[in-house]
Amino acid sequence: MPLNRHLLRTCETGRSAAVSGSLPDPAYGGLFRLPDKGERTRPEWSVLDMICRERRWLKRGTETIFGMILSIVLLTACATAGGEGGGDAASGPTRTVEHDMGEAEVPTQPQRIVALELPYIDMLASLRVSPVGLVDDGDPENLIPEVRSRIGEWESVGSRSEPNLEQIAKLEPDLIIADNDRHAAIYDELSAIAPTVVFTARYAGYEKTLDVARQVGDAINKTEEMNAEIGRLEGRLDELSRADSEGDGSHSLAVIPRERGTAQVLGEGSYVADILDRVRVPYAPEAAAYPADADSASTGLEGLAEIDPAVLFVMTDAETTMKPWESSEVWRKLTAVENGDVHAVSRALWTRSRGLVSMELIAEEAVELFDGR
Amino acid sequence: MLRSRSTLLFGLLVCAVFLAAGLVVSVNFGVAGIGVTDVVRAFGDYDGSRDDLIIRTIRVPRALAAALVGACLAVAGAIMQGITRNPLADPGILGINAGAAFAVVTTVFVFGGTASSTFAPFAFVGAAIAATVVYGIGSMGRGRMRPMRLAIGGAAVAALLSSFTTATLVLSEQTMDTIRFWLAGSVLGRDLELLQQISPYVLVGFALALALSRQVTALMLGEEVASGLGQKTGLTKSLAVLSVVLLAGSAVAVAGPVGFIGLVVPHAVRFFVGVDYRWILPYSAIIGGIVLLGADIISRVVLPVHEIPVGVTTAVVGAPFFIYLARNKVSQ
Repeated sequence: MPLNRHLLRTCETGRSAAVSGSLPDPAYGGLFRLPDKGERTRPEWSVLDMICRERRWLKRGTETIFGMILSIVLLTACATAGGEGGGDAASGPTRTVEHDMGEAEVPTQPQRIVALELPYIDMLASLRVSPVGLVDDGDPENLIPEVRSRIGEWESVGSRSEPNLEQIAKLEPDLIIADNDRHAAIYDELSAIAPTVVFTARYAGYEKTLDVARQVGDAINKTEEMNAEIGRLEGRLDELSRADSEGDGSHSLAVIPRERGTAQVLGEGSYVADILDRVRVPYAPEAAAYPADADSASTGLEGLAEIDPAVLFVMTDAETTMKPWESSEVWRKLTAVENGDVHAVSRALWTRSRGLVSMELIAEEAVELFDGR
Repeated sequence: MLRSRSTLLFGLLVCAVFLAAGLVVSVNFGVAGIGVTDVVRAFGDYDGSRDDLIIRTIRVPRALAAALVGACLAVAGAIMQGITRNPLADPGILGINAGAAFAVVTTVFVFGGTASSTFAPFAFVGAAIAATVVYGIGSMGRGRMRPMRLAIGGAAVAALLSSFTTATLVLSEQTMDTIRFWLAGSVLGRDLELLQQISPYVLVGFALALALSRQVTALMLGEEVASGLGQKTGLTKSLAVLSVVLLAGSAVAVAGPVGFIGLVVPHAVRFFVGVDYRWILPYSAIIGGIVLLGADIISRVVLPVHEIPVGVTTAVVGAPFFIYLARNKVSQ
C-alpha cells in the first residue's frame, strides 16, 4: 500500500534525524545524548519504533479508522434526516432566508425561536416576539429589564460562547438565530437541530445594527413590522437629538474599566459612539485613534487624562466598577470627576444588548446625562 | 570564556547605567504629551498638577514594575536553566506561569474583578503550588530528580492548569473581560502599592539566588561534579526552586505571564560573561530589567495611542530566538 510505504519512509527519516540530532552537548551535561546500551530509549522513539516495525498494526489501524469514519458519516446522516423529519413545525410551509453563511429553509411563521446572542433577543423583543430559548450566560440580569418584561418567560440554553446543544434540541425549535462571530463553528450542529440563520451583530455600529435588525425581521417573516419599528426608532432618535452638537466644545467619552485601573476606550465608529453621534451628543475626537470594532486595546488613566472629556460614561456591572480608579490622584484631577460628570451606566444596556430596544434607552440616557452637565 | 573580575565588574556598572537610562526614557514616553522639562519639574518642583501626578503616580511605577519584572524573570530563568541543565528552560516550564494564571483567574471568577488588588498573593500561591507539584513529580520514582523528568512534569502540569484556566474563562465571560490584558502580560496601570506588596518576596528571592550561585554553577557542570565537590544537590535544588517560585511568582503577580524574558536574557548574558553564576545572576537581573523596559517602551510606541500588552512584544522578539535555540543549541 503506497500510503503505508510513504509513512514508513517518513518514520525512518524522522528517526534518523532524531538520532543524528542527539550528539552529546558538553555545556548541558550531556542531557541530549544517545542512550547507552541497555538503557531505555526515549518514549517518542519507542512509538516510532512501534509504528515502523508493526506495519500490520498500522494496516489494522487504517481499517479501524475507515470503519469509524463510515459509522460517523452514517450516524450524522441519520441524525440530520431525523432532525429534518422530526418536529411538527418543520412539516409546514417554508421560505428561503439568506444569511451570512448561506441560505436556510425557515418555516413561514416560526413559532419556537432560539436566539444565541443578546442583540437578536433585543431585536425580537422590539417586535414583542418571545424566543422560547435564549442565552443568558446563567444570569437573567444579563438581559436588560425592558427586554425581559417584553419577552416574558424563557428557557436558558447556556452561555453565548458555549450554548448547550442538548438543551436547544430539547426545546424543539423551528428557528435558531446564531452569531457569525461566535457560532460559525457549530453551524452544522445547530442546523441539524433546526433551520439556523447566522448574522453578525457583534461589534456592529449603528447602521449595521439596523441592517441586522432588518435581517432578523426577514428571518421571522416580519419585514414590515421590523421596518415600521426601525422607522419609529429613527423618529424617536430625531426627537431626542440635541439641537446643537457644537455648543461649548464639551465632549463625552465612553469607557469600560479593565483590570487594575486600565480602561478600554470605545473608539469612534463603535456602537456607543455611533448612537451618541446619532443624537448629537459630541464624542471626543481623540477616540478616532481607538478601534471601533475590537475590545482588545486598552489604555491607562494617563490616556483618559489626555482626552479629559467633559462627560464620562463608564460601563459598569457588578464586577466591573470604577473602584480601582477612585484612589488615583490622576483620576480625581479629571475634569469630569471634578465636575461630578462621571456617570456609571449599565454595561448590559450600553454594550451588550445592542438592539432597537436598548438603542432608544441609551440615546435617552445619554442626552439627559450630557445636557445635565 | 573567563574574563577578569575588573572587566566583569566594569561591565556590570555599564549595564546599570543603561538600566537607569532606560528608566528615564520610559518615564518620558507616554500617551499624554508631557515633555522632558515637565518630567524634570515633576521631581524638582512638584506642584501637584495633572502632569506631575501622571509622571509620579503612573509612569514611574510603571517603569519600576517593568524593570523589576524583567529582573525577576531573567534571574528565575537563569536558575531554571542551571538546575535543569536544559537550555530551553524558562519559568514557564516549571508550570509557574500557568499556576499563577490559574490562581488569578480563579480569584477573579470567585471574588469578581474588584478584588484586583489581591491578585498578588493568589498568583504567588498558585505559582508555589504548581512548582511544588512539578518538583514532586520530578523527584518521584527511583533515583535522583532527573532534569528531563522535571521538565516533562512541568510541561504536563502547565498544560493541565492552562486547560483549567480556559475552562474557567469559558464558564464566565465576565472573568475573561476583566483580566484579558493581564493574561497577555502587561505592566500598564501598576501602582506603587502593588510593588510594595511583592518587594519582600522579590528581595528574599534575589538573596537566595545569589547565595546559591556557586552551587548552581557546579550543578550546571553536572550532578556528579556537584556531588564530588561535597554539595548536597537535593538541598541546593530545593532552595533554587524556592527562589524561582518567589521571583517568577512575584513577576507573574505583577505583570501576568510575560514570556521569553527568562529564556532569552540568561543566554545572552552567558554569551558575554561565561558560566559563572555569581556573575550570570546580577547581569541577568540588570539586563532583564533593561529588556523588559525596552519592550514596554516599544509596545507604547508601535501604536501611539492604545497600548499593546508587553507580553506580545516580548513574544514577537523572543519567539525567533526560541526557534534559533531549539535548532542550534539543542540539536548540535
